[in-house]
Amino acid sequence: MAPCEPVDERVTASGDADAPSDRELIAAINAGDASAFEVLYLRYRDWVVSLAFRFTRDNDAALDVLQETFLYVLRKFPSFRLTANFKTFLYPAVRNLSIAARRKAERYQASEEALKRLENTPGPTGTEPSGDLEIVLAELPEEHREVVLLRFVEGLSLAEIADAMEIPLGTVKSRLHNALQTLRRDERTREYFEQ
Amino acid sequence: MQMPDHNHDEEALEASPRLIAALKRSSRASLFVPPTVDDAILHAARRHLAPQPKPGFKWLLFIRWGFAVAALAFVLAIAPKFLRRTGPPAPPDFVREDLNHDGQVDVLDAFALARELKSKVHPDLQLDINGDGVVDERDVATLAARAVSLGKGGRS
Repeated sequence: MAPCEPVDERVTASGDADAPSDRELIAAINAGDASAFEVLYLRYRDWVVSLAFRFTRDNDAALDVLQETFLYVLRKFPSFRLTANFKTFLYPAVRNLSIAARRKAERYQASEEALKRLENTPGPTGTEPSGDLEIVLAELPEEHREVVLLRFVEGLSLAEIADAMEIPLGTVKSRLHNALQTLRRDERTREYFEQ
Repeated sequence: MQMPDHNHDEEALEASPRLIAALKRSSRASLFVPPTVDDAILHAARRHLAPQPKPGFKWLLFIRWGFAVAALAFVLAIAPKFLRRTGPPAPPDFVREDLNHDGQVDVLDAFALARELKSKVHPDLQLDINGDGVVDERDVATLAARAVSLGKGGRS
C-alpha cells in the first residue's frame, strides 16, 4: 500500500512551487503586510470552510466559523510564531468554533448522546452521502472519521494529527486502525483493500 | 509471547492509492464562500495590520497648552488692577476725632469719647486725642474744644 503523499504547503495551495511558504507569509504579516494575509487566507479558506461544514453540517454556520477562525488568526499578529504545519494550528480552532456553533444552534438538545447522534447523521442541506464509501464514512464515529480524513485527504502525519486534535499519538493510531478495520470489514468498502 | 510486528502495525495504518483517491473525491465538494465574507475578513485584516501612528512629540498639543498657560499668566497679572478699579468703593477715611463717623467733629464725638471712657477700662489708644499717651478726661476736653473750634464751619 502506498504511503500518503507529504503536504507541500506551496504546491498544494497555489500549484506554484515559487509561491511564498506559510512561514514567509506569516513573517510578512507580522511586519504589517495585509496582502500577505490575503494570500494566506485564500490559501486556506476553502479548507477551513470545508472542515467547518464537516463539523457543523450547516452552510451558514460553516461560513460563520470561517470568519471567526480567521479573525482569531488575525488577532495573533503581529507577534505570531508558526511552530508547526499551519493546518495543525488551524484545526483545533476550527473544531472548537464549530462545536460552539453547533451547540448554540442545537441548544435545546438535552443530552450529549443526542448531540452525538446528530453528529453522525447527514445534514439537511442536500449533502447526504451518496456513494458507498461516503455512507460508511458517515457511519464511523466522528473522531475516527476525522483521523481518516486528516491522514489521507489532508495529508497530515500521525504526529501532526495528534497535535491538531490535541490527543496522544497512540490514540491517533488506535482510531485510524479501528476506522480502517471498519472500512476493510464492511462489504461496501472491502474492495478498496483488495489487491 | 509473540513480539509486536511493527511493520504489520504500520501497514495496518496505510491505505491503498485507490482508497485515498476515493476519499479525496468524496471530500472534494466545497462550499461557496460569498465575496462579502472575503471582503469582511480582508477589511478587518487591513484595519488590524495598519501601521499605528508613532507617539512622537505632539507639537500642536504643546502649542495649545503653552497658549493656555500664557493666557492664564496674563490674566493673573492684570486682574488686580481691574479688581481695584471695579471693586466696591472703599470705605471713606474718617479723621480720628470723628468718633461717630458722621463726617463732622463736634460735641457728639466728645460725648462718644466720654461714654467710651466710662465703658472700658483700657480704651483704645487711637482715642488719645491730645497725644499724651493716656486716654482720659483731658482727651474729652480736647475733643470738645476742637469741636467748638471747628463748629464755625469745619468738617472732618
